[in-house]
Amino acid sequence: MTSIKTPFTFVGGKVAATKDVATVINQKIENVLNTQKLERILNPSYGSTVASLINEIPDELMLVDAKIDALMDLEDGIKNATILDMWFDASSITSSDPTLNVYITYRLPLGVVQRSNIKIAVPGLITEDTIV
Amino acid sequence: MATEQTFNYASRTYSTIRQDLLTRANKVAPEWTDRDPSDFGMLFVDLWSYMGDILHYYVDRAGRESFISTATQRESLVAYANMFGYIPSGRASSIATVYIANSSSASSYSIPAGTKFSAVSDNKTYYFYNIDDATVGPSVSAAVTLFEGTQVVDEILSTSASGAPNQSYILGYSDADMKTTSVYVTEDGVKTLWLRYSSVQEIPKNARGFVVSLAASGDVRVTFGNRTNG
Repeated sequence: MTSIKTPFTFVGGKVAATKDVATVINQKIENVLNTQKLERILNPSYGSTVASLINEIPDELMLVDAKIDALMDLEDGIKNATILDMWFDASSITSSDPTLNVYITYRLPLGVVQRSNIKIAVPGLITEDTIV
Repeated sequence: MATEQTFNYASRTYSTIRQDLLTRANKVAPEWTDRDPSDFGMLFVDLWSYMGDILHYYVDRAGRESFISTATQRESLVAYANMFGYIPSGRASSIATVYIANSSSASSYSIPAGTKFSAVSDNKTYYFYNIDDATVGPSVSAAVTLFEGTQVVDEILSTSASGAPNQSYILGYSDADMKTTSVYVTEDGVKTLWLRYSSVQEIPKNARGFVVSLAASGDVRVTFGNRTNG
């Protein structure tokens, strides 16, 4: 199986492609999580609510909701891998680098379990100090 | 011998274009088998199909505008009529005929052109005016034709006309009544009333004539002769 490699580039006059399954799945996970619902042409259910975290400061409850939705969205959007688990690492958010780390574990068709890491930019994290 | 794949010109919607593209991809790139919506190639296929669907919509719209039975835009129909030499009548004022009696047995009574009349119907006032001078003789009544609307006089179409053939001008009021349009041309300080004809071909040579027509945009256009006619 050959897939177009992202970021989209040309190599030797041809579109860069990859046959590495892990790379392909990583790209797909990133595509699903970074696409907001209703954003895809004529496929409004494609995408994830995780992408909308960029607009608001997430709290614990919001992250739990986002995880439940994202697991279903990843299952719908990726057919050739089994999504096993997903979690957020809110400790990665700092005032100088407000980035939310998202980890996803999945199993490839041949049974190998892999872990993917996606970074989502967020405005910050709700703490006792940010609650007004 | 391999045969050329025929193209299905009936595939014009998002779903059929998408299916055609994927069928084509199976032949030219058999190694690409991933059909997940998350695949970057599938995203391209979706976008191309969407663009094809939209383009077909506009192609259809443009095609429909070419036929009287399917055109929806006034501009298309007027342009189509002009192509066949048919002159749409355009907007027309309501016309009323009033009879004015002169009670005097000694003198005539003159009604100058542009005299304003009014009529009330359902508590709404409508204004009319006459476009020709009228005279009512002693102890008789005369019929006067009135046109509803607002009289526009001395609208200047051009102050520097060159006398070149086929000059045309758009009137400032797009809802002007074409049948009551008059044109005066001032030449060497002399103001002359020109005659209105239904087409340029009908204007006699060297006659001072003009044609009023409905432009495709809906505006009223005044066109002068081409030196052969008018």
